[in-house]
Amino acid sequence: MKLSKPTFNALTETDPDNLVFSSEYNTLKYYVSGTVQLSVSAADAETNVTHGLGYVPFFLVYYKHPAFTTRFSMTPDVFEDVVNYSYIEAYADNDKIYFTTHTNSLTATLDFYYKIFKNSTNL
Amino acid sequence: MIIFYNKKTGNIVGSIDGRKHSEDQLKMWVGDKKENGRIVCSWERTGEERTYEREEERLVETPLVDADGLPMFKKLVVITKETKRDYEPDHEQKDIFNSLDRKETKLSDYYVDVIEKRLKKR
Repeated sequence: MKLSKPTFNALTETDPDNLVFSSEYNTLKYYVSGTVQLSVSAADAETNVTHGLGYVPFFLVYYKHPAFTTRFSMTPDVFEDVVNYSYIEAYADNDKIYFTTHTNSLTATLDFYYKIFKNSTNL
Repeated sequence: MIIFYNKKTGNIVGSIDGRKHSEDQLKMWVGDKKENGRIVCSWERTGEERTYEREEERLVETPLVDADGLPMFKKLVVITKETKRDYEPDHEQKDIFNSLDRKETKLSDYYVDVIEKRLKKR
């Protein structure tokens, strides 16, 4: 099954850039999205979301550092200078997505935005 | 939408987006179940179904081709019938959930009163 972009012929088009959808290519299947807040006080911190899928899913996590309120970064992200460091990451197992900060100085509430897909990473 | 909060402080610790949640999504949790509680808000149908007509422009391919051999299209105005149903949050604080859904407010604008288990504005 194919669905082409306007002005392209779905019956003959082969360039996937000109297709909206083709059953020849796998797609990401959206499952759930949401937010997580993590309070950090100059020490390592972690929280999690239980997805319960029974496998490691494809997922994306963005976060907003309170110092840069209009910037959304993908994890992992690193701030480091001679004295201070903060390493922000998200990882998964077959039951949860974990949101983690390793730091010696960061004191803030971090906002994470996650999207989890049904697609398995097969990891 | 499902909102998770710390049972001691009332701070909101996470959420699951959406107006309707599957059984699997209702089994999800943010953080420790012993530390965090949740408020679940689903959207339910209100009122009657309405069917109405609307005009829509569509591009339709013609048998003709242009000088470069590319297919030519023409615009058609068609009248389609559409059925609409109204939905609203099935929760006593539906005004708040409506404003969150329309992105007029953010979750960070609220906390949870841990005794009443209601959202309150900061």
